[in-house]
Amino acid sequence: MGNKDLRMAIMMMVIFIVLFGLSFTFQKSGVLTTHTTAAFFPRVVLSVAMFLTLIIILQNLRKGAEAAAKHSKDAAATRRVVLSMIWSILFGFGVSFLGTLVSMGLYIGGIMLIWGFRNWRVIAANSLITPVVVYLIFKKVLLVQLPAGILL
Amino acid sequence: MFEQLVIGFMTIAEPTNFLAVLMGVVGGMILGAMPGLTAPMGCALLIPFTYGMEPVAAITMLVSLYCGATYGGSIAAILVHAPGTPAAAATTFDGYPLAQKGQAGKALGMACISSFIGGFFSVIVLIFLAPVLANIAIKFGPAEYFALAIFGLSMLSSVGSKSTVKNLLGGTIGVFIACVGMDEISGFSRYDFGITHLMDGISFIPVMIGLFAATEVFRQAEIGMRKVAIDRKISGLPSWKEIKSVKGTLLRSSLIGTFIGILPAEGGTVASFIGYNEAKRFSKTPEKFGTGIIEGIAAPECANNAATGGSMVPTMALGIPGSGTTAVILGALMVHGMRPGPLLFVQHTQEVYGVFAGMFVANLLFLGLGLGGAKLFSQVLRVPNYVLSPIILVLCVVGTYALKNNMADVWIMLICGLVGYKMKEYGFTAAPIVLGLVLGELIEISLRRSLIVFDNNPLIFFTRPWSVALIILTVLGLCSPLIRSWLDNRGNGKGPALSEAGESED
Repeated sequence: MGNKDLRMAIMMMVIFIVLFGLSFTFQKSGVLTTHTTAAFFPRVVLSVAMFLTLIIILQNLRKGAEAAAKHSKDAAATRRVVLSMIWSILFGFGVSFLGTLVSMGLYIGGIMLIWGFRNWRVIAANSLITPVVVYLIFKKVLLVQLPAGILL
Repeated sequence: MFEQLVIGFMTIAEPTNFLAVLMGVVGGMILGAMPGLTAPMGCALLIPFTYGMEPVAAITMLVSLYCGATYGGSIAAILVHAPGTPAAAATTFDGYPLAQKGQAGKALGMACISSFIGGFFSVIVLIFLAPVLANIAIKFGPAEYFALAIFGLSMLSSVGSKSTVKNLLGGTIGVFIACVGMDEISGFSRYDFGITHLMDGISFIPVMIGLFAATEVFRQAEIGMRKVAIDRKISGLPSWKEIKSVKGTLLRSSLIGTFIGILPAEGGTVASFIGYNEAKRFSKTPEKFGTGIIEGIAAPECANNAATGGSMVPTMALGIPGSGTTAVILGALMVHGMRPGPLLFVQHTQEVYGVFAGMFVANLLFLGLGLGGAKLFSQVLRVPNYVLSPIILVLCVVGTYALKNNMADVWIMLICGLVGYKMKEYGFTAAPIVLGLVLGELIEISLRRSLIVFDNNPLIFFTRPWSVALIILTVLGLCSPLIRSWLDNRGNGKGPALSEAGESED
């Protein structure tokens, strides 16, 4: 996992440095002149984060190339994960555009298909029954608001 | 105290509250029995269902789910050699071999009885210790609170993933997330990137749901379609003689589990492994461990359930979560207007004792349900992940939206789910981030108040006795991976290493 960890650590370090830099843009009070400005604590935290990230970088540099990525996912697994993520994001858009009930049905059916399940009866049953049950529990029993779209 | 406890029991006896406990236990057992679904995830998903409930019913339901799920993890560990929860990983060592010998019923029965004893013992400790701790903490000033919260964070070095540095970095990221939004002292906004919603800060709940639940959905996507087949006959229970033969182990594991649980950030996984290792060390026949003996099931199961009550001690008395699940419960307490800490025992006495009583009842309920219905609960293992996972994400979205009727929370949850999945790939776990997030505000406010009150003199933390004691404990906490490594190697390395539990998030 060495090289992969190193890449991740460098990326995190860059993010922490950018966030640290952003702390200099925070407003300062003209009246209160204590050391504890709004930027004080985030800077302390980011300094600790950068120190810990540096340790990870050094650990991985010491490990060297021999610790190169051993863990590799098969292409099908990667495809399932990426498609599931995209479908979940679309679900997020769907609930506010189409409405919760319809989006839930489409999401459930879609995920089952993405994962390779092909029993249409089970897909249809799960896509129809689950959204209705969830909708009724939240809307009618728990009296919770659900995102509304152009459909239900 | 006894009077308040009686009132607590009367509160729990009300039909709504009792139903909440029952639903929590049943839900927890079902959740715990399913590999991949953990107690913090269940609690995070359950919070939205509790918005409309009374605080006692809501918190007791979550705590009951915690107790039920911790026991439920043993069902899958014994029947299919896959721990339902990380805390049940040590149960597989003897539980599965015993099931293979055709004694699955006995193994499940022993797990249930041991879990009950551990859980019951820890609730008694909770009832006596939490108010005492709260009485001490009520005298704490900001310097002590800062030291206490830092001590809680330092314990992250030994929780979650196998890498100490990554655990601490995860905790630090959590603390940073807590910095987003309006600064309470100066009133200026930080890291809001012009997004109005972020000026309020990032709520715990969407982050918790995203990291614990949505991440798991993507992890299941990686695994692909999975269906578990159970071909084992489940019948028989341990005899009274067998239960009596492990009474020493049960007492030892109860003490170990409760103590480990009380330590901030440590949970059932650590407790169960130490419980198992110590049982082996004290045994006259250590060579039999791992071959399917009753003692090898009793020790970890008793210890991990003892950690449930133990971890509620710092959560309720100090506002410092004792584990990943109690971090979620702490968030729920806040959602229901009960700020954890010493004042909780003064301002919400009836609710607190109601929760204590609820934990007693939850332990009794899972004992009855576990002994009588283990066969039934094992059937949930048959539910395939391709049916369950999309339902979980649907509940994530609906539940997160219900928090403030705001889609921004849903996006935060989804982002946390995606980031959490990627971070898991790199060896980070959710628990340290959530613990950091929960403690972040307390750390910042107490640090800055101390510095303001004491004229920016950082030496203040080294001049007050409790603060000094907690700083020493913090240093010890940071050294705990070394202590753990020493514990792992005890007995010439014959015991299973804690690292075998994988990623602990309990």
